Amino acid sequence: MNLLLQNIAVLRDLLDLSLTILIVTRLSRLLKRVLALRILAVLSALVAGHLLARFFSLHTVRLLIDLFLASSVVMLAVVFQTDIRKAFATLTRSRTEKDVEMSDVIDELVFAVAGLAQKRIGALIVIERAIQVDSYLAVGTDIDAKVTSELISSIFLPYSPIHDGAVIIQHGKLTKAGCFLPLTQNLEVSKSLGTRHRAAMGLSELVDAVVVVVSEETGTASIVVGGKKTDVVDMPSLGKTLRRLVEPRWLK
Amino acid sequence: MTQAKSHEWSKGVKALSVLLAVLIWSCVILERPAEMKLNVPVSLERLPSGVWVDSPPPENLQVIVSGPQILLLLLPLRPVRCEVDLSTAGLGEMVIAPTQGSFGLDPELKVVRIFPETVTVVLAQRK
Repeated sequence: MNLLLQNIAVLRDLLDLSLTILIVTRLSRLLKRVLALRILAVLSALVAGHLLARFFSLHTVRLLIDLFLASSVVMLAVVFQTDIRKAFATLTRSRTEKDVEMSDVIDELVFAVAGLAQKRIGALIVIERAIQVDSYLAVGTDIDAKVTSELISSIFLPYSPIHDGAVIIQHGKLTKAGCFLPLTQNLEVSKSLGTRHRAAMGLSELVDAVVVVVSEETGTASIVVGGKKTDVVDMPSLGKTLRRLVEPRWLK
Repeated sequence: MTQAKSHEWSKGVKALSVLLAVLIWSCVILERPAEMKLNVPVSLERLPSGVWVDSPPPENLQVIVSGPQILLLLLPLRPVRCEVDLSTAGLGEMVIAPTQGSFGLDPELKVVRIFPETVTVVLAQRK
């Protein structure tokens, strides 16, 4: 009986520790990566300092550290008020709402690609996933607009000043257009592929983004992920593939 | 930021999150009350002049101390002793019951039990 109670106590402690790790890890995701490292390092140092001060009965040091720790909660809340507000807004939104939003972005993309392919207008659309693409983009015009098929189609129209480049979709928004992407250095890539496809492959070799390419020569669409090109048979399959590749969290 | 560097940053954030969680958890766990049994030597203090100890008290007392675990961890490494003040003692047999203050412990630590509960000292006139 005693052994059973002891085992329950150990299990309870393990559960407590696991849940604490889960909560802290989830909360740290709210912070920007570079900032997260610094904040987590400072907080860890403060908590470790508290433990040492308590262990060695250094009452004044403990008092100071406890003051810092207590005020750090308020400081973090002030510094990250926008992120916290966003996180709460995301939490309170229902799943169906999120799904509808994701479905909207992908539907608009598929609709635009279908229109462009039909008119044989070349297009290059980058959908950012977990890894940021910003550092690989050359030039480009900042847009920050809702993803709509009309906007995408008008960007790639031949007389548009920013048609010769890629549009970037980050967190479900069209953030940039007319961006030049790094070309693939892979010598095994077929010589028949144009610059647009080479750019799509080049970027997807460096980051985990999904790139949709519309060829102006053939009027076909293809998806490039991880440096590999897959031709799209029809538009419903493009939507299906995009929904499989792009998780809703990357469109938030 | 390259893919490899970004991956490294993510790993760093995860590792620090786990470290912070473990530290927070340790803070809570180590504040739990616990008990510890100690063998505490008895030391006679402020013996009046011209008096000597005819029958010394027991060398050690068994003491059970309770308090937060973090404070108990360091206790075996600290010199804890039971100080018996004899400044007001007269000649003959004296029975002294050690109190919390006799051990000079951290105020957060409580002496739960002392065995034996009293210390008997016999003082005699030095010839």
